[in-house]
Amino acid sequence: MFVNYPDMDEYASLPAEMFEVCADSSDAEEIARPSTTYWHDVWQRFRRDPLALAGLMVILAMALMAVFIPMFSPYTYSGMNLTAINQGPSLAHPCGTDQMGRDIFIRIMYGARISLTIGVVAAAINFLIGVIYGGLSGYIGGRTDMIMMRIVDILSSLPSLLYIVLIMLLFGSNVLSVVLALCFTSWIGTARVVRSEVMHLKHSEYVLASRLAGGRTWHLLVSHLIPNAMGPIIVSTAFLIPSAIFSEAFLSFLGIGIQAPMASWGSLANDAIPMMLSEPYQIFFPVLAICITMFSFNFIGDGLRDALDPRLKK
Amino acid sequence: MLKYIMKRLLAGVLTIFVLITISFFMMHAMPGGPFSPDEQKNVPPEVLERIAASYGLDRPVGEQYLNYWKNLLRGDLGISYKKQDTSVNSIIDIHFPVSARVGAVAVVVALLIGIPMGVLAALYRGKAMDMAAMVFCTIGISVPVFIISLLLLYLFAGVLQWLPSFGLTSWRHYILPVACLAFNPIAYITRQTRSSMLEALEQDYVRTARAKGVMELWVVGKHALKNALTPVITYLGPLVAGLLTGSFVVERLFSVPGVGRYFVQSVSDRDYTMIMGIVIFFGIFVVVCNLISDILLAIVDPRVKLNS
Repeated sequence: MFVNYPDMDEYASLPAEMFEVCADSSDAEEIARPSTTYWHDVWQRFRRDPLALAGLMVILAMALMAVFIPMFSPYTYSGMNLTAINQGPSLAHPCGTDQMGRDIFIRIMYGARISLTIGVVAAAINFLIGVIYGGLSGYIGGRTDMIMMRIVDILSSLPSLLYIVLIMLLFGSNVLSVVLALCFTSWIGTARVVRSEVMHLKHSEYVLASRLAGGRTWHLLVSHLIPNAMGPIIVSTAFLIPSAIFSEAFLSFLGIGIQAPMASWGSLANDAIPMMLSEPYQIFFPVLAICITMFSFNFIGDGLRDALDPRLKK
Repeated sequence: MLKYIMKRLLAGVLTIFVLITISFFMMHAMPGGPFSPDEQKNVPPEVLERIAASYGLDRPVGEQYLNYWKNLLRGDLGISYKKQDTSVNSIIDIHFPVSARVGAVAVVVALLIGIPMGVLAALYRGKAMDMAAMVFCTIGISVPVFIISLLLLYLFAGVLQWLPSFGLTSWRHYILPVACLAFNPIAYITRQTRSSMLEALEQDYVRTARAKGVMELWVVGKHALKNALTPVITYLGPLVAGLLTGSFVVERLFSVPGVGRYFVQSVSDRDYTMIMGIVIFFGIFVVVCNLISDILLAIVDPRVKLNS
């Protein structure tokens, strides 16, 4: 349908000088801001979660303190001072001293070294095992996948804590055997997540294209499937850290984890039980350290989950 | 249905087999032990050999393994290394009912508090009630059981002296151990119920029920809740395993004469037959509980066996 503008001729007779350019449209197609990457988006979302950010700060502060304070402190984890036993918190001993005159604050800092190391190392190992196992199982599929998943089913229905205790007995009570024991079944959650992601992604066009271009299984897994499944994998790994820290504290609390004179948060709490009523501060500070750490890691995990997969947020 | 149950049963039996085999070989690989010449320097080696022979420890590993199975199939878990006149069975017979009683009360309490709290949180989503429940859940999920136990023990038995701190002779003795055991499960059940309830309330059948003019209480109680409870059933299996973890701490702290306390005790005594017996007993117990919750779930929710 044409619309007739009777006055058009009138404008046509106007000289060109009477027109002026009102806007320069040559850069209209230009992108004003740099495009954000996936990880940049994730960070933007994570940053807006105050609890997760606070958790991250606390953990970073704790890690720095755990590394540097024992280097410069006049006390050590085993140094006893029998003239200063069972002293309440003071300037010299911010968390007081125990029944052997050891500074509790420095023992908590050594405990932080142990807890954070175990948490991070156990999570890293479980991440590795979980990604390899789940990735292969999901990618190969078929009968192999069936057998691999049945093995996982059986392992996951064993009560893992009992086996952690057995492994501790077998390899002795030290940091290494705690980590080893925690690697017994903790990777199963990650492996299941990786498997379902890989099964879901392996039929995508870009994977098919890569295979068509001659990509080997390993290449497909490492450079296409796993990186694209990274979101859920990271979330499941993030929650492994607090559960590893919990397990270590639990074992030490029962007296089968870290052995004296080395201190872990669990064993500090355990040592303070007999003095609970007369010297409550001895139990208060280690318990506080465990609680703060557990809260922080759980908040970070929640924040990561919301940031990596906003659809999950309710 | 029958096929699904048979498959689960077969998996359960296989799991128990693996469990017993791993336990046996791990215990066998333990360094030292009560009868090794390195640890018992004051006892003449001939005596040690004779003791070892009376426990059948001089036989080859394979034969010991078969013997262990033979005894196990007769329900015999062996005799304690530490106390020669005590069998593992007698310890379990005497002390397991105590653990089971405290544990069962804790499960009931956790369900009775967790489910209503989750439903209320979902109904009043975003309101003060929901916020309070979510804060409680965060605490319940983050704070380990031994810390909750320490705090409750310190507060109610130590400072306030309202409740007894040890033993298990009257109903008041149950309050603290049960509260400690149920604390983490309440948080999990509340969170699980809340999220599945929120999902159920958005379903078409709930809208249909409302459109037909069904009373709100009935809509929530029957139509939504019934479908929201399936994830809670799934959680019952792991819940039992979780109570086990809790029982080690709680029974030790509150001096409850249960199997959990014996387990921790025999671990520090390195009483291998006792440890192994209790591990196998607990392991089978947990596997059976998982199996029951799986089968229960398949009966309640037919979608499960279609998906698996």
